[in-house]
Amino acid sequence: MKKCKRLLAVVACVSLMVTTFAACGDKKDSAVLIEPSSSKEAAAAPSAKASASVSGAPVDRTALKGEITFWHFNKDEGPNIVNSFNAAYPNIKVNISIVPDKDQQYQNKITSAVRAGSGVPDVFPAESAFVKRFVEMPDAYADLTERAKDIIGNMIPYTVAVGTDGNACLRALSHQAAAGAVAYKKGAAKQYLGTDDPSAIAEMISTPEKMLETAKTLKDKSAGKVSLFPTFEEAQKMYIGGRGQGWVVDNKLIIDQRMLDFIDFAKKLRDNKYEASFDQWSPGWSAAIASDDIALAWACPTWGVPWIVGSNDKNAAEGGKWGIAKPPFTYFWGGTWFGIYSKSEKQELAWEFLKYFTADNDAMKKWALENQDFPNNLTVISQGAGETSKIMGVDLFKFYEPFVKDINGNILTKYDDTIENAFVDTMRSYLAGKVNTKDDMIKIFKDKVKTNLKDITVE
Amino acid sequence: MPGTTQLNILGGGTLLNKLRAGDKYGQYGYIFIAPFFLVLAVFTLFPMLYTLWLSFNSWDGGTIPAKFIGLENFGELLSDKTFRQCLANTVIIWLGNVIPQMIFAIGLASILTDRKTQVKAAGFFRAIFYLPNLVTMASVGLLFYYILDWQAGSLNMLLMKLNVLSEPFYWLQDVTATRGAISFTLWWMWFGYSMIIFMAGIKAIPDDLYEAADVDGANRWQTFRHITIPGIKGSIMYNIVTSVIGGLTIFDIPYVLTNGVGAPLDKAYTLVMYMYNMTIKNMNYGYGATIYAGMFVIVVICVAITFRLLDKKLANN
Repeated sequence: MKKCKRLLAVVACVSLMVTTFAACGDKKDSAVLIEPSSSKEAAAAPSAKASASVSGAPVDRTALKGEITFWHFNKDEGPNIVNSFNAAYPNIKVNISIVPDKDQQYQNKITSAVRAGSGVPDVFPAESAFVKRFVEMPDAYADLTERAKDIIGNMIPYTVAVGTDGNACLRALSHQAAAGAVAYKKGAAKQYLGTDDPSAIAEMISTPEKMLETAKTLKDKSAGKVSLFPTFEEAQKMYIGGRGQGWVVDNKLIIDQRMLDFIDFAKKLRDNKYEASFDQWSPGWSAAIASDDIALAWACPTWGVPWIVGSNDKNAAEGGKWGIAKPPFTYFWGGTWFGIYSKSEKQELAWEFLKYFTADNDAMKKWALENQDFPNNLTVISQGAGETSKIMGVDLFKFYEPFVKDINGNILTKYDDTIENAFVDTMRSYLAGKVNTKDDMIKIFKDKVKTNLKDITVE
Repeated sequence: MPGTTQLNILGGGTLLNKLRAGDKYGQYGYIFIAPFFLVLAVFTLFPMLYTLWLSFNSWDGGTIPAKFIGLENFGELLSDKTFRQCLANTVIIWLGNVIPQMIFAIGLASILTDRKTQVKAAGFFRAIFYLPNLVTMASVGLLFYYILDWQAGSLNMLLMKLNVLSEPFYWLQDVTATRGAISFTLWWMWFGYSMIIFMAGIKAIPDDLYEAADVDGANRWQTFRHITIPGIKGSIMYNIVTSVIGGLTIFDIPYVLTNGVGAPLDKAYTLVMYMYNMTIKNMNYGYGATIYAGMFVIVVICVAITFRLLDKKLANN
């Protein structure tokens, strides 16, 4: 009995301590309720009368009344979307809550609410890293196939593919397209490659062989000072977009030939010092963006112009420092999709909300210009931005237009985040010489995937 | 009488009037301890039991209900190489931290409490040594991540300026360096805390014993070995037990330092990181719960062994 008591005391003591020590979540980021935007903006609304630019019969927007709930994980974008919507629909009250996705808090909160069948917002977004999770999750997003059939033709095809589930039902739409390009330093290009013309640079990096040739020229002419890329991960973004198949097909891990080629390509970059060996998002990587003599080119999605180049190089907006070129393989990086809760009782109002910022030409153009975003709207893109980017010196709508339709959205799976983290981690060890051969590297990568994703087959 | 006062407060005298000789006064104690046990049941025992139940299920945390799969997860855990690797990593990192931590803490505690030397500004040093413990672990992890950065880290820059290195060393791709960095960080954060516990223990040793040792002609080492150490055995065991539990649940620093992946090649991957990634990132709640159950058993065994040693040592003492 005494022993039992002692054991019980040990178990109770340990349980308390384990819970205490393991409780490591940041508690400060709980949901923040933002007051619904006032209807003051309505006075300034340019299109509050009728939605002529959205397909379907024009409706009197001021006549629509009601209330919907909307969650977002981004404290900047969420309220801006609501303000923009309320400028056109002053009588629809949007109750927005911001739930940051730190430690997947947002995803877990949405999932718990969907599972319980109550407290789910009428509209909620998902980032590219987890959009497939909600698109494929039973009862999460409503089927938009029928409602959106007239507007998806005006969207960039890859965004529609990403928002479509395995049964070909459209579940989520995006207001933006995160098409990828290559941002480069004009000064270094002119000095060491003899030209800073975007077409010439695009040609110089149009194939893996040409990229290696260009890297060699750059290294030789700069006496080893300037590398082609700050990290192999820049090229990886492009190679990932250039795959023919996703990471998981029929529940089986697939390593596309493009990725097998990439392993060799990255090894050559590292061994020849054609990349500066930074880790992406590390302090050195950020500092290299501002420096003129470390690296030449960065993978740059549409949002990367303000948020990768603009935020790290404070002089970029002066113009003339940066150029933008077509990538060797079309790709996308990031982006946000929105869907309506399948059991929402406000389906129509929620659809008006969603339709407004994913299909209204005027609203989308205004949004894109004000937020340095790129609209998921082929009509708006074809019209051009009407202004040149301060950083890149070109009309970005016109720049991306020729190749956005080639981006493959079918390769995104709900497993990509985990698989790509495992890939990068293993690549870093391989390139650092901690893994001897390519075969060993692939084996370790497969083992990692097998350990992390127990529901897929790894051969 | 304090008891009477309390009963008066509770019952305004009526409760006390009802009490008769032979009544079990102790039963009222249950009312006072009930809130604690209620909180324990709701916030500790229920989550633990729920986690245990989850470990017998396959569940992705989504809208498809959990599926009971019996002991399948436990079977997998027994043959899970990553789990064993994580356990080994955790123990190695813990040992690399706890041994120097105890040595430093005891050494500094005995210096700062030395009755003969009477170190000036002992309080100041105590505060300085304790200071790292007040910083959040994640911040410290991030600080060391920047210091150890391969291309732009201050450590490499310093070593290259001093001509110790000719080119940057990739610290966080070196197994020993990464584990060493985590152990060092934990040591740096916790030796001050342990030192304060030891200082309290040393101060509780009666002066008579030290005076008797002086009379007997004992030198400093003999006094430390035969009076101080036996006198703080309780503190030593307390520090070891809390360190076992804290050590086996290491998370924040290796997580931040390795970007959550336990690089290089899983050699800095700890048990709690594995559980966290499996549950939160990979959405495998069933297997994540199984890792928790496995970890819990290991911690209970380790702590039980330590308690047993503690009992014997104290009894011998």
